[in-house]
Amino acid sequence: MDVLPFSTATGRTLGRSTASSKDRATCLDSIRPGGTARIAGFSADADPVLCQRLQDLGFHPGAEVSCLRVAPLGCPLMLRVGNADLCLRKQQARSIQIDLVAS
Amino acid sequence: MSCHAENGDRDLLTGTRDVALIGCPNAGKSSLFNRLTGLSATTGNYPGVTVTRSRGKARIDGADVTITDLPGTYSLSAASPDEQVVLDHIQGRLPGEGEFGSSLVVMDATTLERSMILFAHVFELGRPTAVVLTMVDELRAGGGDIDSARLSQALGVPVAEVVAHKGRGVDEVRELLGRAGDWPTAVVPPPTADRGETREWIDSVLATSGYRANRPNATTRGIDRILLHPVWGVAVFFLVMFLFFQTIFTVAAPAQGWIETLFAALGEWAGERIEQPLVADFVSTALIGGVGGVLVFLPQIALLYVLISILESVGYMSRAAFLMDRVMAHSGLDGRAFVAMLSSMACAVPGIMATRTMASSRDRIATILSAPLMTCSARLPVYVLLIAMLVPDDARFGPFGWQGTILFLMYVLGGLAALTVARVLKATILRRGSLPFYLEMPPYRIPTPRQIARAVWAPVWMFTRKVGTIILAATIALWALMSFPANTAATEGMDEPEASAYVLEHSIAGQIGHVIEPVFAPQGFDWRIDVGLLGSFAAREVFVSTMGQVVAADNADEPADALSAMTYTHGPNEGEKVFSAPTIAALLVFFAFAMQCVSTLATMRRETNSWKWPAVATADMFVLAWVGSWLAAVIVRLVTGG
Repeated sequence: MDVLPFSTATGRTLGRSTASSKDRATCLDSIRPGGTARIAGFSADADPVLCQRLQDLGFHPGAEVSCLRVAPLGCPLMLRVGNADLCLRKQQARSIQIDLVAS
Repeated sequence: MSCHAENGDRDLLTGTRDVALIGCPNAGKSSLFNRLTGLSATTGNYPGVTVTRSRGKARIDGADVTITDLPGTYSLSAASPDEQVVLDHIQGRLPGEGEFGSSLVVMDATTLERSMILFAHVFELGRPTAVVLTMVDELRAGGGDIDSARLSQALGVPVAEVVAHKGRGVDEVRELLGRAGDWPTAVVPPPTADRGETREWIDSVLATSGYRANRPNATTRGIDRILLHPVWGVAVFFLVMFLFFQTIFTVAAPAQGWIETLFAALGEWAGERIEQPLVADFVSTALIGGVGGVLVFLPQIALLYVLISILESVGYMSRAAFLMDRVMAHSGLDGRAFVAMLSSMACAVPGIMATRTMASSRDRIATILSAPLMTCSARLPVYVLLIAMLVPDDARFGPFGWQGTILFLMYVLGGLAALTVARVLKATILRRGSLPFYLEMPPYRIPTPRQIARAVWAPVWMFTRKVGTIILAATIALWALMSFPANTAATEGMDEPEASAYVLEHSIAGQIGHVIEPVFAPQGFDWRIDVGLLGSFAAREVFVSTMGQVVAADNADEPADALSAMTYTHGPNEGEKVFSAPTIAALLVFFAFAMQCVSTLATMRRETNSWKWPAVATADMFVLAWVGSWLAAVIVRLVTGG
């Protein structure tokens, strides 16, 4: 499994940091262009209305998300999910937890 | 409309003739709606909220079916006021509305999974339901497939396939609408309480109907690589916006000029043929001038809508929003507000109308309230007059002329004010009920001329009919304020400029000017400037000619010399020049911030469906204008030592 297209908020690569900081799960905002992930769930402090809405949009647990590109100023992200292209701001992407990593 | 008791049974209404179109945004609802209803559709707002709805009739088998195009929604969980309207409409909870009979769920075949969640929620409500599958051509072209007969069996409702913008399958939908009352209701509704179960149900339905998703559209991917490129994409974006702005100015401006010339000539022609001078002035200035003042907006509105609907239906609008989102986020708005803000630099009226494409009504109101602060073209004549009086045209600021620099700063001031006001509104009164940001990127599509013609016709007609009457009434009212009492006896023997100055001074407007003089005394405005401000409510540029009239300038349209010579007639500064540097600076800032435009207010009233928001805008902009112009006067007084 190639972990390089991802980094945590601290900038270290995923493989090393998840073991050391277990309460800091990887979130969708750390996805890089070209990367693919599987949605694990939502962060505990996320707004329930937002979670509901994200699920309506196709970001449900188990769904595969890939990152097509990031806007020139670093936000929003353009994602492919459920056969649609959708953009989310990093702020929203932060409430989606991802686990599977591939590129 | 509703034929049963208030506490009524919500059972199946056999033979019902009310159908609501429900679907996700971009599912092709509006294309289908337009195909079915033609020009019978009316667009307006829901009572009490700023959510646009369209309603029309389709004639089927000699009977009318009323069709309502509900706002696009991803679910019925009602996270925003817009979605609450959809839910209230379906459940018949809107005041003055009968409950509708049947729901026609419009599902985009390329994103079927997502539409199924919405279908499950709608079907669960127990109304007669049918499904229209759109974008089936795109699905098949991309290597996907679906068997709509088997989908129909799996869902338990009739399913029709359409390619709405090409008109394919529309007859089938019409036939379906003919028996809308007999559509099935849910016997065992799909599971919606548990997300996992809903997913399983969706998976099984999709598997039964042989659904295969299409590949991503290769052409779209290729175009996106350029149009969303960090360098090329941004360059193309600025080029598109530049051309957009240029077209509005260079194509619409001459047409506006013709309309103005035509109505001026018409007014003059009519005025010469009427004996009684007051009636002549009423007909030429208030009536014909007022109608001209309405029609003058049409070239801009029509052109703006041609451009916006092309950009929108091609799919570029979402791309522009994607590129601009980070910048617009500073204002608390999202990228979709950018075009409305940009259009407002030509005129706030089309700018406000352009907010209709925005998804969230909260963002829409924030944009509507802040757009009038952008420097519109009506401010230009005022700025040009004032700046020329403030600094000589040979004054240099480094390599630049001072005049141009100040004009540029006025544009910056307007832009910053608009973004700041939007931000404050979003953080305060418009805080609740905002949706999280998400933006859908549809594949690029080629719009049909019919689609564009329709998108242009509706706002042009709406403006003429609904906004035009308010503008006309206001123009006539302002004319009356400035023309009565007529004082015909007193002005006998005076020459033209002198007479009109005398009438204006003793008119109701002149008296109002005197009464409100203390309000603007800190800014250095005397009663004559106050009359000019009153006159500028008709349109900001009217300030120039009203000032010309009030100082009895030989040529009322070029009053700079007469104004420069104007002195205070009373009070502590009697005899001093009125148009000193602090006063001019204060006026500039006042015009940057104040809501001096009846047409904008009328459009706001129309688009928000209430007088509340125009009132809020007038109040907040007045406070901003008063404080800003006072500060400008104080600062310039300090700097110039005056």
